[in-house]
Amino acid sequence: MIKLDVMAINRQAVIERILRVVRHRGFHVCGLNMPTNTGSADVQVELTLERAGYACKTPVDQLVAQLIKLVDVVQVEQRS
Amino acid sequence: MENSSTAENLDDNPLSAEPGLKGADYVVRVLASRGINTVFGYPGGAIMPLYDALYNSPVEHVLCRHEQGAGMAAIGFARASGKTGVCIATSGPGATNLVTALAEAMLDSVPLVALTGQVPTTALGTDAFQEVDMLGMSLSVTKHSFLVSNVEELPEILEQAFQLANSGRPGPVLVDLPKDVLLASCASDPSSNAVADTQPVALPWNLCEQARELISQASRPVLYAGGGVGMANAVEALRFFQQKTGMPSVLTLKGLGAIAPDTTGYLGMLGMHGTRAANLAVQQCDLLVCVGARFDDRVTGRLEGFAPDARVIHLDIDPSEFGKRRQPDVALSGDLNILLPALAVKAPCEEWLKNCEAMRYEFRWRYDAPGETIYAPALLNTLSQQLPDSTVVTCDVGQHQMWVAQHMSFTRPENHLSSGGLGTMGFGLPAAIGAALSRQKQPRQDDLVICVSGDGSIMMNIQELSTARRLNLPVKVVLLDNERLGMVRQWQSLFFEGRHSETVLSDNPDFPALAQAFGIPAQTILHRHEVDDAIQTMLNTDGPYLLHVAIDAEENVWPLVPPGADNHNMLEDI
Ligand SMILES: Cc1ncc(C[n+]2csc(CCOP(=O)(O)OP(=O)(O)O)c2C)c(N)n1
Repeated sequence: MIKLDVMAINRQAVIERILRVVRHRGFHVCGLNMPTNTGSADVQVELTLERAGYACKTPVDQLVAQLIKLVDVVQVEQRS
Repeated sequence: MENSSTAENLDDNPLSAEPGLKGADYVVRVLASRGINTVFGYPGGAIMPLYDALYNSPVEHVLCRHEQGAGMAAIGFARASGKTGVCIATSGPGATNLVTALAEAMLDSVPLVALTGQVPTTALGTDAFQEVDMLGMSLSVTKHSFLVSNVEELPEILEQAFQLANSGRPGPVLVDLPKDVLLASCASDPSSNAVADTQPVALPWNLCEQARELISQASRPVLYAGGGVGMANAVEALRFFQQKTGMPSVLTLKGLGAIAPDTTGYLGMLGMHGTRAANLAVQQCDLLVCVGARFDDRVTGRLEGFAPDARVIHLDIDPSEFGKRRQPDVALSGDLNILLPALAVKAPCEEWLKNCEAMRYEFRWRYDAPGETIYAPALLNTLSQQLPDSTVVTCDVGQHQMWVAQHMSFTRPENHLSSGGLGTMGFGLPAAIGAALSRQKQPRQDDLVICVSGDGSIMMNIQELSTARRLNLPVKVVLLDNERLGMVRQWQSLFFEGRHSETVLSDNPDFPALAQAFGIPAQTILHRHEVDDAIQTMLNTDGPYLLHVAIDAEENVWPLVPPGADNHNMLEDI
């Protein structure tokens, strides 16, 4: 299991963008936690991920590097 | 770089905000204030307010004949000029027709802003006529995208769109514009704040020192440079680095032109259809300095066997490329114009440079194919030698694309426009139109644009002949007709036991007649002795021209690194 904490700006489609990158780069969402935040500028997303079969060798760093490229993503941290 | 001078003169600008102005007028004022004087598109219902605002505006709108054509033309414009490309389409089918161009700009890192019409906000989510969730559709093919849900958001979104398209690693940004937003009143002026350049960041001296040390110890280094060099305006810095270090160099498809072809130790393109010398040098090198390139699978062949003895220094604006395919020993992210001079130390590689020069000579191209049929590589080489250095060459995708890369010479990367990452058939003609428009100078002194195409590819955006004709652009199409989807046919011959499934195009249209139907002069040549005169006629004809060249259906592109092989195991003509 891989756990990522993603902090992002609460703007249009930000969750879709994060999930799309996760899927496309070879990871599978097994858990997602996002506290309710109405009116806040930021969103905090906790992701629990598995590797898709074809990405069994993809380092998590690669996923983090792609996520951080999203314009609205501010910070990505891996939790042990 | 964009011309921001008009931004300062907004007060004299007839388009300066007046009461009664709408969102659509604001969009046009933003374009004008950013010095964007040419945009490409195709009108329709939802985007009509923007077309109304373009009417009589100082921004020239080029009507293409398909939205994909408009998108590719905007890309050609951007790549040939270094400016931002802008394309416009209506909602629904207009917008979906742009998707391939967005993907093209994404994979080749081209600054493109796409403005799409959308149904009014009141109709969003109702499956209204010509409603497509364009924001959703854009997610995987843009750097970022926006749906403007209120006219008050328009100024900031447009500002961000242009900034994002050009910052860091450039790319496409889509702005979806609902019709009511375009019609809503919007009297503000585009901000004249020039986009702040990224602050110079202190160089990581530690890493620079490590890189310099690797270079100063390398006896068999190779410089491997790609499209990022041209995008970063760093051609001079790259050439300075090459000279100072004295190392041999190879280029990717998108890097061609970044090193002058006559440079000592320059070995040409590497990879699947690269030169034997380039691939052998990379396979043997002890240090690979990768600049603005990304170890693409077309470059590396079998990744584990690529440059097996090399330490790697990787320089790129986008740190997500580090280690994505090959783990670097030293990676430096930043502006190449700053990084390259900081690393320019002599490498002790004189012997190696001599060896590389000898390889370059030993494996030089030969054009003495027997027979009277036209040998495409020879034709392209002859043509290339007759073109002024400022000529832009665009191409489509397939065998002819590889022959252009192999047999034509380029002294600047912005003069060779090839669909690298996406490999999009249909890119060449509209890209040529955009390139020609970006290089307009005095009448009759415009830069020439050659579009080398294949009989398969040309049909993908053939309608753009109409645009070339309408604007009387100096776009010369060299159509290499093998009556085949040649590159696929070659792979079927080599790797699918000659089972030529759906690759025979013996029922092609009469291409010269087709060109003439668009009002474009054309000629067919069948034999080698006709080549020289035909090239002269083409170059001496004003405006667009189509030279239809019959070539051998069985001709292959050599050398070829077969799938799954290491780059030193190239197949040659057998
Ligand atoms: C839009 C698109 N569809 C399909 C392909 C796959 N493809 C790559 S090369 C090729 C054949 C191209 O034929 P042609 O334009 O005649 O060029 P040639 O290889 O004969 O020089 C095809 C079908 C592609 N690259 N782009």
